[in-house]
Amino acid sequence: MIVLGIETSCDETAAAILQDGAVLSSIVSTHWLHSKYGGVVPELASRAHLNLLPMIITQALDESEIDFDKIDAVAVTKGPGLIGALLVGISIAKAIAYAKNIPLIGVNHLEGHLWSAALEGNPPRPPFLALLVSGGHTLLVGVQAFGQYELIGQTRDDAAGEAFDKVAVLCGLGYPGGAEVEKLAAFGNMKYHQFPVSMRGQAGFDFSFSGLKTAVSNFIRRTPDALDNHRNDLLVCFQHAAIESLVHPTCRAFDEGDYNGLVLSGGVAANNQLRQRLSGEIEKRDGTFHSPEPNMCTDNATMIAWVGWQRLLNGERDDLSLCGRPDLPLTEILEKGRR
Amino acid sequence: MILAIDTSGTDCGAALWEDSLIDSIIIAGALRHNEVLLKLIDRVLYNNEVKPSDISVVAVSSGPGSFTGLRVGMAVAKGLCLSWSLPLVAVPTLEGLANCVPFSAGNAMTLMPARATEVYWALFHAEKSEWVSKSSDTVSDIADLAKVCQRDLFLYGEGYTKHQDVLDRLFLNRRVTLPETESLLPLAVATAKLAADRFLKGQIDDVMNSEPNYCYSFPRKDS
Repeated sequence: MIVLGIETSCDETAAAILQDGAVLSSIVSTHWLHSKYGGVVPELASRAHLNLLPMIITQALDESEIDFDKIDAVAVTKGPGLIGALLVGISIAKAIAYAKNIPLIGVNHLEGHLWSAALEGNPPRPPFLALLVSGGHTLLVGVQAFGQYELIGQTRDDAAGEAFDKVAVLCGLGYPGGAEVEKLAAFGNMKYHQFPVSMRGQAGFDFSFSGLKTAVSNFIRRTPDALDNHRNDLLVCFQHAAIESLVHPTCRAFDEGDYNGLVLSGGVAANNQLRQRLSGEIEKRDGTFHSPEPNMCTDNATMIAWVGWQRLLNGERDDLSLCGRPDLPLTEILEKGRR
Repeated sequence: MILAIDTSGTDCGAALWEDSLIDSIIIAGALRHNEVLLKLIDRVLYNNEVKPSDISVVAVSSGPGSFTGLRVGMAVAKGLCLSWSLPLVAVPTLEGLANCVPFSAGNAMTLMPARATEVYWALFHAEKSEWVSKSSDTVSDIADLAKVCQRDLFLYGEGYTKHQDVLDRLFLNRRVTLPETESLLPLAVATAKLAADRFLKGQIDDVMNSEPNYCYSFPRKDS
């Protein structure tokens, strides 16, 4: 089965073609136009998706060398995400499914991230634990099987990626600045300052990043030469605290559950320090560590096409009234799985 | 044969046109365009036993209007054009509205609602047998419309309906008339008709890069 996947939930316009789960092509266009606003502007994102998506789909088809008429189904992100952005992808997906008379399937964006490591050479074997960390989400999910998910922990305030992006803006690195933070932190001195690590030594599996963000902002205000003379030191100390804030609840959850391994996904998973730290901890516990290539960690349509393919194989499909669901929870799938 | 769609305002419409109107389906006040539009297209094709291969042009009402509505219409139009390898014809919404009104001597102002007390508007003048554009599509506060108001004026569009009280007061004594509702064409039909003219003149739009006419650059300077 050849599936066209479409993803437009935030500021990446993406299309991919998969044949029986194998990637034939994957095109992602990131909207850099948001950088001067220090964050994603929803109206601009919606406009950019409408402008880019037909070209991105055409490129995906060209690169896959698959004739448009050979596409067997369309999978599209239905949520969570920005509603205006989701609607552009859904509208085009529906028009294609209708015009080509092929099945349509709406996919939960978070479920896409859960399985983004499934396309790699050494896929995770359920049950596994998944940590999704991006600019919009910080979730710990127990995966029993495809479609059977348990929400184990989540952030109580900001997403981890939000903290990275905001600290990057405070340090004058622009938006999105996560990659730049890691690059500059490599030159910093860890002993410069100790920022708070949230939830260390506490019970439960939740995360928190607003305290860390405020601590960095206050420190910069109180320390006149922090940005001029110690920016890289500040960044490495922040990065360390942020990573430890992710590692502790994740390891606690891994210890208390019965998992074969850990999947790390989402935009923040592109951070090598986080990957190394978590893979060390998980391997110490005889678990397998899985994290997709950095370009598969961020939003892409490959993971959407893959999950859509699985669901189509299960006989699921959507009709032409498919809606966008900005706050679509992952737990809805859980309820479906239990039924 | 032309398939025309309109999701620029509260109505959701699809029309089929070949030399003259074949059929149209309009859901007044549908609003949830994303849920409704493709079912509507399916229905109008099915009811008239039209096969996709019978369609040669996809036309869309391209704004100004509701941002989300315009995007749904344009996205569906682009998706159909891409899948069926058909040309796209984008028809300005305000020009479409002028052509909903039966032709008569004088002037027409068509209006679509914008933010709060603002409207998108354009002026048209009757020449020979068509409405000729006399202004570009503009967004202004309704209070400022007094300056552009002319005599013998037709007013039409959801922008008028929304601000009827203010506009009636503003245009008092200027022989402003309103078209009778029975005589009005649905916007999807007027869009189809105008698309046929445009297509004959070779005015087609780029499926890849066409954008709705939002009329607002974004972000606005004052927001």
